[in-house]
Formats: sequence, C-alpha cells, structure tokens
Amino acid sequence: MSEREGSTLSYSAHRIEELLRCPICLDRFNTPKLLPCQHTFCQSPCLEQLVDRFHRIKCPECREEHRVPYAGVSSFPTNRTILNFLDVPTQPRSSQNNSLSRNEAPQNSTERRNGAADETQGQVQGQNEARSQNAANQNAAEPQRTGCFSCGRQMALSRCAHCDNVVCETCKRSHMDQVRVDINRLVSQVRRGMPNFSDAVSVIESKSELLHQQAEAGKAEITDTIERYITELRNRQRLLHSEIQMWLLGEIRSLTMLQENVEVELASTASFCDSTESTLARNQVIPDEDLVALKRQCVENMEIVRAYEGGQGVRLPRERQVQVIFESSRLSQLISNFGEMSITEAESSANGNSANSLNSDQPNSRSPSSRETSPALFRAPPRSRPNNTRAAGAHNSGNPPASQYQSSPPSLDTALAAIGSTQVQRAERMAGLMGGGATGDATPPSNTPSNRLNPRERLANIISDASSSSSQSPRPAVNHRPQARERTAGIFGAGASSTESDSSNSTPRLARRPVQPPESWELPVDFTHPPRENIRAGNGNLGNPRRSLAERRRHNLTDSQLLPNAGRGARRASERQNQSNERSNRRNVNRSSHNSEPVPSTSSEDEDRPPLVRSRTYTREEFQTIREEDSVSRASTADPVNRPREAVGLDVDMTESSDASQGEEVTFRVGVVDGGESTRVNVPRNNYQDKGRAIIRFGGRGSNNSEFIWPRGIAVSRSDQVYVADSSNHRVQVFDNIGGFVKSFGSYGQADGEFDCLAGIAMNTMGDILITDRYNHRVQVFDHQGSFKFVFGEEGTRDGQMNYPWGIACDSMGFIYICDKENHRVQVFQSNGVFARKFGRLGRGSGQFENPHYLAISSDNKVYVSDSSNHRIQVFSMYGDFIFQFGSVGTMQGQLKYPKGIAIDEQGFVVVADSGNNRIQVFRGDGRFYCMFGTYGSDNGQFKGLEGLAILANGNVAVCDRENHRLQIF
Amino acid sequence: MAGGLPRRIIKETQRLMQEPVPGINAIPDEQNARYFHVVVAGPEGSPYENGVFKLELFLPEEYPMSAPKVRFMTKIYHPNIDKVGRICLDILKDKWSPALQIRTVLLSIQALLSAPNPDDPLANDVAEQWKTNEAKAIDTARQWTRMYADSN
Repeated sequence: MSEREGSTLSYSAHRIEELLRCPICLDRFNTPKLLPCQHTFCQSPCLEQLVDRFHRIKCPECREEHRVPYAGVSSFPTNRTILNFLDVPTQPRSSQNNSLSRNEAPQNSTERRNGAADETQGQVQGQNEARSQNAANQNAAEPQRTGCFSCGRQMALSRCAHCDNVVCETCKRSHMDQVRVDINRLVSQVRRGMPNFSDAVSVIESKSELLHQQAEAGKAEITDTIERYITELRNRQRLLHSEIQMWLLGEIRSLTMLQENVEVELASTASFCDSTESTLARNQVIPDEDLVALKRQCVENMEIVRAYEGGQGVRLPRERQVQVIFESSRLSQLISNFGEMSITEAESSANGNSANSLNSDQPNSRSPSSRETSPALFRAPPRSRPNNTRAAGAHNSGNPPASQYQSSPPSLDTALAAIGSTQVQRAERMAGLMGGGATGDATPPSNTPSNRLNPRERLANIISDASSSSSQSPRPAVNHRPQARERTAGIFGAGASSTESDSSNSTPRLARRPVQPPESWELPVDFTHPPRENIRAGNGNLGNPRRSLAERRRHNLTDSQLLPNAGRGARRASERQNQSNERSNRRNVNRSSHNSEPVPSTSSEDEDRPPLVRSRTYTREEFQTIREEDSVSRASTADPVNRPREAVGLDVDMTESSDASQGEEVTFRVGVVDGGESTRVNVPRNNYQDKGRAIIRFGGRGSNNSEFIWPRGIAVSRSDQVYVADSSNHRVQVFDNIGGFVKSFGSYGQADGEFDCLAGIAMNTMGDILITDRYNHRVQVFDHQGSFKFVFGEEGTRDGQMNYPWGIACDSMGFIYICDKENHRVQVFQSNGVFARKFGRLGRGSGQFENPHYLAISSDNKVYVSDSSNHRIQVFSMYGDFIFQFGSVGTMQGQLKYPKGIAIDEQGFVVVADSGNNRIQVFRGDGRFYCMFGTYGSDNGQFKGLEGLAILANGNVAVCDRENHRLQIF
Repeated sequence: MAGGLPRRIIKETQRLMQEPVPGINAIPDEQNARYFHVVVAGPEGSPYENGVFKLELFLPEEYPMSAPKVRFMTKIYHPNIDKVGRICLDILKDKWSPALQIRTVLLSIQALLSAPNPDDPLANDVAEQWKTNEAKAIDTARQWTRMYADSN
C-alpha cells in the first residue's frame, strides 16, 4: 500500500504524508499525542511502550524526560492539527480503506470536524456497496463506477467546471467553496495592488505640473527677451524721434531766423515807405540832397523788394529732406527667426534662445537679465568658445573698451543699430555715437596703449576674473607668438578672427616685456612665470643651437598641433596656473615624485621652475622625450637674478628632503652632496635630451656574429670599442662604435677563458677586460687583446667569495668593484684579485642592498650601485661609506623599477637603465632627474628587458636590449 | 519471530530496499527477517576508503524500543571498534531512541569510520596508538583496509 501511495501522490503531498507518520511505528498517527516537548507520537503502542516504571518518559526525538501522569499517556493532549491533516482525503479510494479504518474507530467520540468524517463513513459503506455492486452490474454508468475524483465515493457525479474532473456533489461544493475563497484572496491582493494606480496617477500629475512650470518658465523667458527687444526698439524709436526733432528744431530755428530777418526787412521797408510818404506829403521844403538820398533809398528798397518777388529770393537753406531709412529686411528676417526652441532630453528646460549665432549677446545666459550692461554699449561676438564669452561677459564689465567690437558677426544689435540710420550728416555722426559703436569705436589703437601701459594690471584683472573660468590663462597667452595670438583672443573673449590685427599689436608688447626683467621678478608670485616664459619665448639669442631647435620644435608643435588642442590646453592651462601658483609659492618642488600630472602632450605650457614635468609629444613619431624644466639651463643669459635663486632653491630642497633616512620615499638625501660637475653644468655635453631614437640598432637572437642571446653587460674600451657580454652564448663580442663586428671570444665552460652565463664586463685603466663569470661565481681578467690573464673568486659567502656576481666596475686606481648579487653586497678587490673590502648586506636601509645588479664609478670616485630590488640607486664613497641614494619604486619620472645598467659620463650625469619601466633615465650626479626616454617594445627606441649600458666616447649611449637580443646605440 | 513481524520492521525493510543509503547495503536474511547482512563502503577521505566492510545487524524483540545490535564482521583498525567487531557507538547503547531507524544507525557507523574518536574511553590499544602517533595509525588502518577489506 505504501508503494501505491507514493506513486499517486504529488511531491508535496508525499512529504506531508511522511510528516503524518509516527517515527516509532512509521505508520500514520494513531491518536497522536503531544508531549510537552511538542513532539507527537501515537498513543498506543508507541508511547505506552516508552513509559518506564517511574512514570517517566523520554521523548524519542529529543530525549527530553517528562513526567507521565498516573492516568497514563492518554492524558497527554491530542495533537488536533495532526488529526486534521489526517482527515484530508489525499488518496484514491481504494488505498484509503485500510488506513482510514484505523482512524475512524477511536475518533468517533471526538466532536464534529467537518463533513469529511461523514464522508469517510459513507465512503466505507460506499466502497462495500461498490464492491458488492461491481460484481452485480458491471454495466453501470462509467462515471459512477469510477467514483468521485477526489473522494472516490459513488455518489451523484458531475463534472467540475473548474478543473473538469468528475466529482460528486459534496466534493464539488467544497471545491467551489475553495474556489470562492481563492477568489476572495485574489481580490484582496488586487486591491492591495491598487495603490500602484494612484501612484502612477500622482506621478503623471506631478509630471504635468512640471511641464506646466517649464512652459511657464519658457514663456516668461520669451516674454522677457522680446520685451527687452521691444524696449530696445522703443528706445530706438525715441532716439530717432529725438533726432528728427532736433533736426527739426534746428531747421526751424534757422528758418525762424530767416523769417525774422525778412520781417525786419519788411518792417523797415514799410516804415521807410511810410516815412517817405509822410515826408513828401507834408509838402515841406526838403533840401535837395535829402530828396536825392530818399530817391536812392527808394531805388534800393525797390530792388530789395524785387528781390523778394515771387516769394523767392529768400535764401532758404538748401532743401533738406529727412528720410528715415529702415534696413528692415534683415531685421524682419532676424525677427522671424528669432528665438529657437530646442527641446532636449535633459530635464532642465532647454527652451529659450539657444545658441543661435544671431543672438549675439546671449550665447550662454539663460537669464537675459544677467546682462547688466546695456546692449548698446557692448557687443560680445559669439564666435569664440562659450568659455570665452562667459569670461568675456565677466570681465567685459570691467573692460568695456575691449577690442571685440569690430568684425562681430551680424548680430541682432548691430542690426538694431543699423536700423533707421538717418542720412543727415550731423545725424549720422550722432547715430554713430549713440548707436553704440557698431562700427568699432573703441578700436585697437585705444587698446594697445592700455596694453602697453599696464599689462600686468590687466593680467591681474583677467586672472582674477577668469580664475574660475576655464579658458583664460595669461600664461599660455604669453608663451609664444602664434599661440599668443590665440590666447589674447581668448583673454579678451573676442572671436578668433577678430583679434588678428589686435593681437599682432599686442603681442609685440607682451613679448617685449621681458625687456624689463628686474621689476618683473619682484612681482607677486603669480606673475613670475609669464615674464620668464617670455625670456625663453621671446629671446632668440640663446646662443645654443640646441635650444633654438627646441624653440623651433615648440613652434612646430604649436602651429600644427595646438589649435585643435587649444580648448583642452586652455582648460588645463588654467588648472595648471592654479597649481603652479601653489607650487611656486612653495618655491620649488624638487621631489620628482611630485610631478604627477605629466601634462600629457597638448600645448607646451611650462610649469614652475625647478624640475616640474613638462612633457610634450613631439611630432617625431614614436617617442616622448621628457625634459626637465630647468631654469638654470633655460636662462640663457646667465641672468644674475636667476643664479641666486637657483641656489636658494637647492638649499630649500635639502632641508625639505632631509627626512626618511631609511630610504622609504625620499628622492634623495643630501648631506654634502656634490653631484659632480653635472650639478653645475647647464648644458650637458651629451645631448641626452635628444636621444630617444637609436642611431644604430643591431642584433638578433642567435649565435652568429652580431647576434646575441640575452646580452647583458656592456663596456667601452679606451679605443672606443664596445664589448658586449653575450650571456647565453657564453661569449664576449666586440664591436666598433658604429656597430661593426670586430671579434668575439669565449665559450661555455668552467675552464680559464670559458664562461657560464657571464654578466658584467668592465675595463680598467690599463685596458684589461674584467668579466664576471656569473654561474661560475668568479671574475676573469683578460688583456686588451682578449687573452686570459687570471681569474679569482669562487662560490660562497665569505670574503672573496661571491654568489652570482653581476655588475663590475673599476676605479681610477685599479680597484675592482663587483656587485655580489646574491650576497647582496659589493666587494672590492685589488687589481690583482686580492680581496680588499666589502660593504653592504641584504636589506632596505641605506647601505643595504637587495639584488644589486650593476654599478658604476664616477670620475670623482663615487660608486653608484643599482640596488635593483630596492628600486633605487645608492651612492657610496670608494670605501663603502653611504653618501646618498635616489630613486624610489614607481613609474613617474625619477622613479625606478628594477634599475639595472648604470653608467656615468665624465660630467657626472648618471644614465640608468630603468628596466622595469623599459626606459632609460638620466640623472644628474646628485640624483636629480634630468631626462628620460624609451618605452616598451621592439621598435626603435623601445626596449624589452634593459640590461647594461655604457657611454661611448662621443657621448652615445650603448644599451643592451636583452629580450630583443640586440644592441641599441643612442 | 514473535507473532508476525512488526509493521515498522516491514516498512523499514521495504524502504531500505527501495531507497538504499548511498554506500550502505542492507539486505535481510532470507530466513530471519530480523537479521540483516550489511555492507558498508569505506567513506572517502578516510583511511578506509576503497574498502568494503561487512557488518551484521540484528533487530531484537523490543525493537524499536531497544537498539539494534550491530557488529563488524570485517577486521578493521579503528579506535572505536574492537577486535571482534563490536562497535562503541552511543546511539547503539544509552542514546538509542525509537525514533532512530536502521538507516540512521548505519549512517552513524559510516560517519564513525570517517571520524574516529580515540578519546572514547573504550580501552583500546588502537585508540592509544591513534592518539600517540596518528599518522602511523592511519597508515595501519589503510594497510588493514587493503588487507582485509579489499573490494575483491
């Protein structure tokens, strides 16, 4: 029976069925009794058997002990829940018989549960009947024979509308009740979900509110603008009216005068006539002369009268007519196009007069009322970038006679101004005056005097005004001429085209400013830069062809590359302006780790004085040569002002970087630093800054001549031959200084003259060749022709023993210095191989090493060691006293990653193979960064796995490019 | 046995046949329905892996009120199993509950194989060895498994 149960029930019913079993008898509960621990078991026989003789019972599930009342286990409460579950008819009728029959008998006494009890009763009977009936009439109607689907009884059956099963009435009724209950539940769910609608409604309402507001705002804006123009038009009208009025008055006045004259004449003539007549009529004796005089007067008057005959003769002023000319076609066109509504996706209202070029004075202002200056007085050409116009607006209030008047594109205001220009001469001029200078009243000539007068004040204004605007910066303006053109345009917010003439006037002013150096140095810090820039930019007499090349390069960069970058550069310029203001306030930044934003490529704004980053992408394709901004080298004319400054700077540097003696982050620690000549030299003899592309590259992986497998150390002989430790070919190859193969010697082995992965190679003063035979843990010495001389060293950690010796160098006295890499120390031997001294041990502190790879000795007998795993170069005296160190882990300039090969030129410049960053960095002898070049890769000027490097006699740098299996000479 | 087999035993037997516990095989004896031949596979990760161990399980009269009696028939080197195969397992003794079944008992025995408990006071030199030199003990267990509980 259990099998059949399992097969006909669904999974959950199955599980419930399992839960209705007593764990003891594994049957359906028979009188389930609830123990105080909430576990349920059958009353008999299960629980009864568990009572011990002390009337205690231990729960089989949780082993909790309970006291059993005297009456026995039947006094435990019955688990009615289980009973209810048990009553649920879940099984087909046939299999329910046996299990139900057990339940029925003891449960008859309990109160009514539901109709199920009746059902079961009836069902049993029905079953019996069915069984008896089945045999009798097998032809009974099928539905009746199969019985109700759910309870199995043989009652009046019909199909359920809901699930289309054949069920009896009671089942159907209960089923439908169930359905009704479900419906109620669903309805309440739906009702609970109804707030969604109201939410949506409120959202829509708020949206419409918003739209209303937006529309209102837009309308208000339109009204404002239009009103303003109406006001303008009215003003114009008033203006014109008054013009006409004045003209009229003038004319009237003149006419009145004329009229008066004529009246006077008339009066006089009339009085003359009267008097003459009266005199004649009096018949008195008139002397003859009087008569003659009278006659004459009469004749005169007659003429006069005649002159006035016909109403003419009055010298009216020339007929002047006033005509009002309206250039209205353009205006009406403008008006009809005026105002554009752009509807953008953005939330903010995008209505209003968008960047219509015709709307000159509101390219960016949403609220026209922000313009306080009357449009008549200023025109802002919209052509320039929005930043500019904003800035223009900002400081135009301060500088009205800015030079943007002419060449503005047809603006509404000029159109306005052009309206109604009267043709009267006087009126013309008045119109010109009052129309507000549309024809460029405040012209450049008036500007440049002001330019000339006080450029600094103006710059100050501009800087203060435009400090927040992103485009203005005087520094780029003053940088160099072609750029200055653009920049002054930027400053004054004029259209680019407009200030061509302008700036060409102004630029010479600016460029001439460096003529006044002394005072410019006392300026507040902000302004020290521009003049200095100009020193560089303006002066052509730099005396150094290299520098002029730099100038030229910069100009190349400017012309071709600047314009599209102008926007970005302008922004960055102002940022850098602010930054450099801070920096210059601090006076110097010598920590090369500071120079964070290596101002990528764009315009060549120059930063603050002591070495800040200035990176530029040259038009030469592949590489970036990063240069130090070194004012000492910059100031060509050995400006006496510069010098003390530089010294001051250095002093401050020293104090600044006096901390962190444990070599954590410091760039260099200065005790008594004398970096050799390289600290004083302005212009290194070796043109490090122009390196970046190899002059010669040769090599390839292989074992033939001029082929390498993992070239490592490299050295240059007195005869300018290049000796390369071809490590995995276990040989030394010799080339001339242009890469031509000369000879090679060595082979694999442990005997004299044989090598095993040789690493370092050096020359001593006598021309002997010293080679570290790495895997043989020894050093071999050959003469300059390559014949073996002697060998010393063995594997170990004691003095004179070595563990994978790597770099090797020789000082002027012949002492041999070896990087004993795995012993993390440097050992010094006499020139005959006798151990002299050693220094260093494993660690990170000063004087400690971790995997020192290569070393080099400067001409003043300082030992520079590439402390590779500590990512720094340490400098010692020849006796092993720590002097200083420089470099820290990182990728910025001045930072190193696994520095390897190192070489020092006769001026003291230190060339370091920064192998982890795949570049070569050049430092001054005191550790200050000078320049660097190189990137990862296999092309020209690129490296994969830098190893040793050496400096040729002509200043070229020969570099072992290990993973590319080649040599590059820069 | 006594008047027909209790239903519980019947049900358990049926269930064991239908849904065997993985790694455990319990088959009633043909003549005695209360006697089971059990085969337990050595659990993975224990020194008994790859071994097959025979056990016998007997359901006494009062079952399920009293615990079944289980015994190892295969020689096994285990600190809780003595040399005749008696098992020291609490649920087979004082911690028995009628709610436990054959399958649970056998599972516990299998768990005991993977987690020997040498701290059990069953005086057993094996337990001593297990505590002093566990590695060696484990090795011995492996050896015995290979020797006595081989699959063949």
